[in-house]
Amino acid sequence: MELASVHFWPAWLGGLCVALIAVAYPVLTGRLLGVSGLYDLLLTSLRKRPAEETQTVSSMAELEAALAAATLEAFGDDVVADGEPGAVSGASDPEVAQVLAATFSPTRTRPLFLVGLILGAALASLSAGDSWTLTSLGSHFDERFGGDLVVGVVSLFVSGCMIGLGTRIAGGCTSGHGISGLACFQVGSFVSTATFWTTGTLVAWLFFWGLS
Amino acid sequence: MKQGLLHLTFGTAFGFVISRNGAADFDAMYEMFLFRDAHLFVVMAISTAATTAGLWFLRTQRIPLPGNRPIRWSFRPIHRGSVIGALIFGVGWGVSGACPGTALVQFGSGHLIALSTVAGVICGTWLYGPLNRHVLKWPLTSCE
Repeated sequence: MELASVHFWPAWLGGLCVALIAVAYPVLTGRLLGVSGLYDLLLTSLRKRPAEETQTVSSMAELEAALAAATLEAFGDDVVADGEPGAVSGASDPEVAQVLAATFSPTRTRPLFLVGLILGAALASLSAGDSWTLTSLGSHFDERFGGDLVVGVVSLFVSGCMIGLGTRIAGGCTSGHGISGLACFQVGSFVSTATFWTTGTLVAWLFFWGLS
Repeated sequence: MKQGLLHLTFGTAFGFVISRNGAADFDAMYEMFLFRDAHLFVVMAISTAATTAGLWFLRTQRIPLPGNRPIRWSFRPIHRGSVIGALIFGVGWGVSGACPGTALVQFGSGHLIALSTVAGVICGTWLYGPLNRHVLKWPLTSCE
C-alpha cells in the first residue's frame, strides 16, 4: 500500500510553514498559538450575548466593566491593548483589573481562527484537486470501522468529547502544548505532550491489533 | 473588525498548511502511530525546532512589535491535569486521529463525518465547566 504522505508537502517545507505561523501569530496577536482554548472562548462568547450584558450592575467594578464594554463596542478592540488590564485607566485595583481583563479579551474575534481552519482546509483541498469523501476519513478509517457509518459517527463523537475534555483538563493540545509549549520549554507541556503522544500511539496499536 | 480578519487569516493559513502537511489525514496519522511512516514525526520535529528558534529570538532580542503590544507568554507548569487530561485526550486522538484543530481541517477537506468529532470536541469542552465546578474544583487553567 502506498504511504499517505507521498501526497503531501515535503516534511521540511510543511514544518517550516507551521513554525512561521506559530511565530508570526504571537507577533501580530500578542498571544501564543493554541487551538483548544479557542473552543473554550467560542463557548464563552456564545454565552455572553449582548442582551445579557445589559443586566443591572451590582458593584463599581461591574459598572466600570460595562462602561468599558460599551466603549469597546463603539470603537472596536483596536483602541485597547489585547486584554491588558493595565491599558485602561483606573485598573490598578486587582479585582477591577480582573473584570476589565475579562471584558477586553476579544472573545468574539479570536474564535474566527477556527472558521479559518475550515476555509484553509477547503482551499487546500480544492487547489490540490482532492476528492471529497463525505462519510469516510480514509482507507484505514474504513478498515477500522468496517464501513459502518453509525459506528464511525458515534466513535468519532465520543472521541471528540474525550479530546475536548482532555485538552481542557490538560490545558492545551497538540498546538498549545506540542508546538508553543515545547518551544517555550514549559515542563507541563513536555509532560502532557509525552503523555498524549504515548497514549495515542498505544490506543492506535490496540485498535489496530484488536480489529485486525 | 481588523482583529477578526487577522484571526481569520491566521486560521486560514494554518488550516491550509495543516491540510497540505497531512496532519489532518487519518491514514497519515495512523501510519505515524503504527511507525510505518515518519513523515508526521519529521513535520512535528521541524516545526517545533523552528518555532523554538523563532520564539527564542523574539524573547531575547526584544524586537519592537507592531503597535508596541507585548506578547503574553503563557506559562505551563505541571499541574494536576497535565497527565490525566493528556491521557483522556490521547485516547480520543488515538481513535479519531484528530486533535481540536485537525478535526476542523478534516471537515474543511470535505470529510463531512468529521463534524461528529467537532461536535464532540465542543461537548467535551463544555463538559469541563460543570465537571470542574462540581467535581474537580481545580483552579481554572486555560490554553491561551
